[in-house]
Amino acid sequence: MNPNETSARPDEPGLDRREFLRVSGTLAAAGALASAGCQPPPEATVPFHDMPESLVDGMGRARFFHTVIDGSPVLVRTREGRPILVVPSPNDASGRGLSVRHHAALMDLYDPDRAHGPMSVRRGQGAPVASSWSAISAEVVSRLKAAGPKAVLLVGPASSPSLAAVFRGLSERTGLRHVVWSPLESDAAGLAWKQAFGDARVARPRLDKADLILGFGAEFLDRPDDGFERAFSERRSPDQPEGRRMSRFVQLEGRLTLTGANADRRIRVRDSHLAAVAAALAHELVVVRGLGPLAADVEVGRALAPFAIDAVANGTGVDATLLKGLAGELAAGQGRALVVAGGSAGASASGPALELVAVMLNVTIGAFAAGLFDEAAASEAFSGGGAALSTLVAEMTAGQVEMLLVAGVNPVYDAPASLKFAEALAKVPFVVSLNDRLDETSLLADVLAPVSHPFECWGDVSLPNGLEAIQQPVIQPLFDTRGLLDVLVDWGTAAGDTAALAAVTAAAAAATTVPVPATAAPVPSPSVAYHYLRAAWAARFGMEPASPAFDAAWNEVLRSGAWRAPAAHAAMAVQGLAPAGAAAGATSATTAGATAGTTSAAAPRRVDPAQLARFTVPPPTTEGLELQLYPHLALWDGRAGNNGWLHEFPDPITRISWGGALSIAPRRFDEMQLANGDLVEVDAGHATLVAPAYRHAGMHDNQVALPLGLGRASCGAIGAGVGPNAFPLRRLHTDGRLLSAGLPVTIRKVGGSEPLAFAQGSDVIDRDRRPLVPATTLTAYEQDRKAGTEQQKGGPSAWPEHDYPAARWAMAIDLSRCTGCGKCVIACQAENNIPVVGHRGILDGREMSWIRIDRYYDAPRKDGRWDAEVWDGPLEVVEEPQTLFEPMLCQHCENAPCESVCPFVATMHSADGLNQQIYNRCTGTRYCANNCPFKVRRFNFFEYSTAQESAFFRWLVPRIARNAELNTRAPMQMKNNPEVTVRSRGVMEKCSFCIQRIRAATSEATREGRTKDHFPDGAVVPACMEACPAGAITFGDVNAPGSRVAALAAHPRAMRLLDALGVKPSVSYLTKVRHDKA
Amino acid sequence: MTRHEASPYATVMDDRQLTGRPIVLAGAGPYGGDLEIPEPLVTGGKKWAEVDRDICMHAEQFPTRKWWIAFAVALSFLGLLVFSLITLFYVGMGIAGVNQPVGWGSFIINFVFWIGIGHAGTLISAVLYLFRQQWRTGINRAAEAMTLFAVACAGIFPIIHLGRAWFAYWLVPYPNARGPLWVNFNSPLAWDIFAISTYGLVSLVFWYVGLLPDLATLRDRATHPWRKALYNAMSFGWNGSNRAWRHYESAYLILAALATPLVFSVHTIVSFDFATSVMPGWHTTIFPPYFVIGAIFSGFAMVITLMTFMRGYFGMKHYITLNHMEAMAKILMLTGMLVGFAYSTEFFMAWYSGSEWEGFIFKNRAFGPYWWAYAIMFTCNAIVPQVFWWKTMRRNTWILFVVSILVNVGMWFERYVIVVTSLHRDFLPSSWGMYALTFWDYAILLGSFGLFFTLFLLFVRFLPVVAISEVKGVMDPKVARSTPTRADAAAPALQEV
Repeated sequence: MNPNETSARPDEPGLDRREFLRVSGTLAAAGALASAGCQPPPEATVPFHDMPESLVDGMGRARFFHTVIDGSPVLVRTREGRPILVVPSPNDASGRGLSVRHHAALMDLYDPDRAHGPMSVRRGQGAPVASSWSAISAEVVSRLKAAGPKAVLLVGPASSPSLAAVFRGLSERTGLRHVVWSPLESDAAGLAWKQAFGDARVARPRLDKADLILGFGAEFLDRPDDGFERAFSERRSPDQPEGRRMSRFVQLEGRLTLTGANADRRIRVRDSHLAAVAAALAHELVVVRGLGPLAADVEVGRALAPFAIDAVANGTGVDATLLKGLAGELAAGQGRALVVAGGSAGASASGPALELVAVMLNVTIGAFAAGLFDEAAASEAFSGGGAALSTLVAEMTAGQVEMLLVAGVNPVYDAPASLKFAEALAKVPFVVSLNDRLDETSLLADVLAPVSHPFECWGDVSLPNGLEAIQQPVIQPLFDTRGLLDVLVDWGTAAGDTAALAAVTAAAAAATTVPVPATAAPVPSPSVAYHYLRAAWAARFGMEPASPAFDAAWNEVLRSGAWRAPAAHAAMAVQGLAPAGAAAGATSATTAGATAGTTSAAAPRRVDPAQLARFTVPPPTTEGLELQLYPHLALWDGRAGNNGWLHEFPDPITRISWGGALSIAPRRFDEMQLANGDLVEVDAGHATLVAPAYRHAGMHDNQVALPLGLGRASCGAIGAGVGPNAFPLRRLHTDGRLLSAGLPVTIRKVGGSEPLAFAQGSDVIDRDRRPLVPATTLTAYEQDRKAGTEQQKGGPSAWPEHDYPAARWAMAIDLSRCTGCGKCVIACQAENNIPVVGHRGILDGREMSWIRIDRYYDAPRKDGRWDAEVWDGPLEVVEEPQTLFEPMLCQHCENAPCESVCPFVATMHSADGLNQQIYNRCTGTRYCANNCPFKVRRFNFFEYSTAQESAFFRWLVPRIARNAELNTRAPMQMKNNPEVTVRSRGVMEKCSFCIQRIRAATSEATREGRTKDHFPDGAVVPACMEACPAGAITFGDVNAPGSRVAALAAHPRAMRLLDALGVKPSVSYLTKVRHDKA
Repeated sequence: MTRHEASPYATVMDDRQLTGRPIVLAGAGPYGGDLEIPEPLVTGGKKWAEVDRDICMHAEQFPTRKWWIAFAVALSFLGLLVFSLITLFYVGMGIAGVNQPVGWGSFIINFVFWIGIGHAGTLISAVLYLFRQQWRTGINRAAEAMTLFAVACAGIFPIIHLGRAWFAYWLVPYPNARGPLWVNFNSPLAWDIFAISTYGLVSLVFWYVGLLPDLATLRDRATHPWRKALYNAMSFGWNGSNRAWRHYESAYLILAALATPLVFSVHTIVSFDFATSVMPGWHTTIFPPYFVIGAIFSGFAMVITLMTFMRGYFGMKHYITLNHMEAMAKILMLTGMLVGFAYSTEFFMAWYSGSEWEGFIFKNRAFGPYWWAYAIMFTCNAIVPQVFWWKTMRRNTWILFVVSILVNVGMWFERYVIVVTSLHRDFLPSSWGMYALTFWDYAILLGSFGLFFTLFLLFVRFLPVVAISEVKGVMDPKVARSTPTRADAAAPALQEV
């Protein structure tokens, strides 16, 4: 009998069986309801109150909105009105990139620990009590008027023209001053460029044009929102178009950074020596070899005189022949080579000198003349944060500040200990926090006026390359919060600012004429910021705000995501936050007529040799131990300290999640007889800190490092108290700069240990014994294009071959392009509703990530040296590590070992080549995970998707309470992608190749009457590929004629892992090709 | 030496008089030479009536304080098991120590451990029966009971180790309304269901059929009418007729023949759970014989442990003599050496195969972070049983007891080594990890012992612990037929021994 045939017989008279069941079921349910006190059962869903009719045609489809977050343009994917995924804005010409914290911004948006409304905090005297916006606004405005210039607004660097205009309006009316504080920006580059060129704008190096990149502590990959990945990766593939060669990247640094891990050659130089080493190269090129325009300059010669290579080599312990070789390479690469300095090392005492010498080197090798710097994307480096803050603190202490407004910054947490910010704050009579939660600073404020998440409010931003973008909300505020622009416009109105007044009037007018949403027409926003922005943009366009032409133009900006300012209006964009300067990275374009992606039409920079000669570098010594404080790659300055995704994101190098550790060089680590996690006290003189120790490969022996952005005391239940807070260890330099590198410290073991949550087992791979990562050198590759892919071949298979009648999905991952940044990990987590397991979960080995980036230190045996101990990382491997990154995800094997062992047939092979996991059938024998040679299957050890309510079991097994805290507090579930099943406990899951997107593409093809047999490139883009800035991941139908993935799978560099097992993966890895070591 | 007029067995009053060597009857041979007869299987010059009394008395009298204490301890561990399982089912698999990459942990270890123990009973009752090893009669009943209880313990674990144990019945292939959802016959886990359920069922039937005459004995001795009725029902109205015995003997022989291959098939199939995978350390053809031998090894060790108790606390020394113990010690040593041979073969094959993965796994087993587990396993299983080369050791019940415990510790660790060390470091070094038992793992392991001993204590309380009818069959009629004295027949009060 056909199981689909129903047994209903409607023509039968009377009450049939189904009807009877239906009626009795209804009665039973009604009875149950009645007995429960006539109350409907509580629902935890988030339904539409009134389903907007416009969504009907969008049913089952995601909608995309352009907006901006932290100065990076993004595309937000929404479903049923909820943002569910953040992806890079396609065709973005600004050159900005996304960092993992932007991908993870959804968790900040849906953070249950944000303030739910305005509060009267009363400086921590008693519990905060709820307040209202009207009460707060009234008090703030009256006090603003009273305080006049004694009111100070402390803000983070922002590049919003509208915000800047409101600041101006407010300060004109009330005398309010504003101070910019950015805890992480280093001033070194700006100072150096200003000294060299008389212009503080730092041009953007063009990594895609350079054949040789020499990095002095460069961290362009560690600062992903600078967006260097694509340009860098493009040149890192050995298969370059005719006339181009794979670029060579040499990095000198003290701590193994993500950037350094991608270098062909990495030389360990401690931060405080970098300037001297750079000067030594300059000496060799300019003085010894007489190269470049500076060779004739006597002053430069005199300045460089103490830095002969041999002298510097003696002082720093760096091999002199190595430096000579580098100088030779630079000399040979004139016009094609680029020197990049900076990063965390720029925040050392000799940072400006390092930047200056880097400029000198670039001038010498003709990098400016050859157009290796993009002037169009030049940005004014932020400067003076430390100085401005210390001045402010002095004023506060002296009682010269009547009122302090803090917006988007958290100095109580991140100011150097020596400033004693909290004490100074106590002397300010009235403190208003405009942060989004009761953080460290808000707790010491009088009132908290919580601002909305950028996804909830209107704003605008200036982007590099002359672009302007609107930050449009993608969801109504979840709580009783307002956008910063809304709040300031509101207060500006009360203070009498005309522009603000006009916006409020327009908003009020719009609010009274709101039509009943009976049609698909959008509802006018009551946001005053919206009207303020429209007025500002109308002025920018030179149009009437109420005109249809403006509406069209405005909508076009919203639709396309950005607007290029014509030359005439460019000046407007520069009005950043003078005098403090525009935000780092996000900035102002000034060059008229510049177009993105091309070299600047501006003349090469003119340099003053006399200025270049003015640098001081203390003579290097090999003594002592120095500390580098570097921003946590995911948590950055710690503002997203309550974001579970970011805490769980394993650092690409240390592989530590949920916390951070003091990185110690392997040799020193072994000498101190430490084990990972042993507590060590760092004494920086003015402050001490106890942190767990970590044996950091590639660390300079005399350098230790700590991540910043951890150790939030008050950010919410998820992140509070995770890791050590290293911000107080920073020091204020005499010139007002904040020093976070080259700090002299001593360390000692203090006993006790704190387990570090590593997301990886062994660090080292012996590719000779375990050929699991294809890697080779360029010379070997040029001789044999298959070099590096050697492995034991599998024999004939006893299994019948699968038949793929139509499409077969496959992936290719180019390891030469992959930088290991890990954005795919967060994108996958967001797309596929992957829960957060917490510190304990990682420690217990219960991580849930479907894709991970394995990081190995390459130790091929070749001569039979290693024994089992190689896995413990012998010094000779980890002191000068060769790092390999390998994204690992379900390989969708043709003969999948997981499939044959599942007794329930819960995992099976599809006709289009997917290894499918059927959650409903899975009962969790975990045999598939055991039998997976790639260990990519993930088991739901706990119920992560719903809270287990029993108080007794929450007491008995506290981990389930923590799991609920991390995953199930409202409104966190709103982040879930409705297209992906939320898994319950006890079932296995794994990468599905984003099957929801594949099936959506199939449905669309069906709807549109196209063929479903084959799909063109780009028809299906999984989340990881979408997020990958380096273009390392290619996905597609390998059976489609001419598809990219088919070409890559057939590429000589392609290797399918573990061929000897006969599993036949669908994922091909393309060899990581390095330049030869010399 | 003098000719014995009566049976020489009548003079063996205590098992300490047994030597483990044949009794030499000088000049008693058919042609006037010496006659060697085996030593008696039952000592103490027991009469048949005394056998009934000795064995049935434990089921007929109020238990001793020792039994109650033992039962209370076992029951509390059983309670711990129940509580742990409730927690496990409510909270999730996360409370156990399993993780990625070690997806199987103590539950599977315990499963293999218990199913291994469950092997000795059927081996003793079926295989030794077919080989006409008469010494089995003293121990087969208890050994079979042990098998059943061990299989019951083992049967829990494959179910509770599931992430969603409440769907375990999906493993049973029957026409259903879930699609229909059929099992995957490629998966060895599906084979397990058949192997274990068949084994459990056949063992149960075999054991029960053997019990029938003895249940009838209990019935005949019962004085309380309810008790009589109960045992009557349980013995299916056994009447001891010639016809009943003839049917009984045929059925028993057939069941023995049926059970014998199961002894080998069950653990072979359990070994397939590992051997059919691709994991180095699991994917090996030696596993079936290696597992079967290991199972017999551990099963005999458990029998020795239990028999030591029964001799000591239940006064069964006349029925389970030192000769029985020595015979088991010999089997223990033989199987111990076979297990040791398997361990060595694995190393040889790992080297000889030339497989990098295989070679690493074995190096890592013996010298990696779990070297201690490997050392415990190898010492307890391959080295400790070597003491049985000495007869004095084989006949020393203290040594036997200690060795039997050590062997079971070693066999638990053998499964630990196989499961954990193969998984914790497999192909990709990035996914290596460690495994440790949690409180709940220990609780469930101890709880399974609680279940086992609860069942065993109930068994010794309510059923004849020695096969009365079979023991009678191996006694010397010259000694046993004579009428017991009045003093002999009167049941003494149970004494605290």
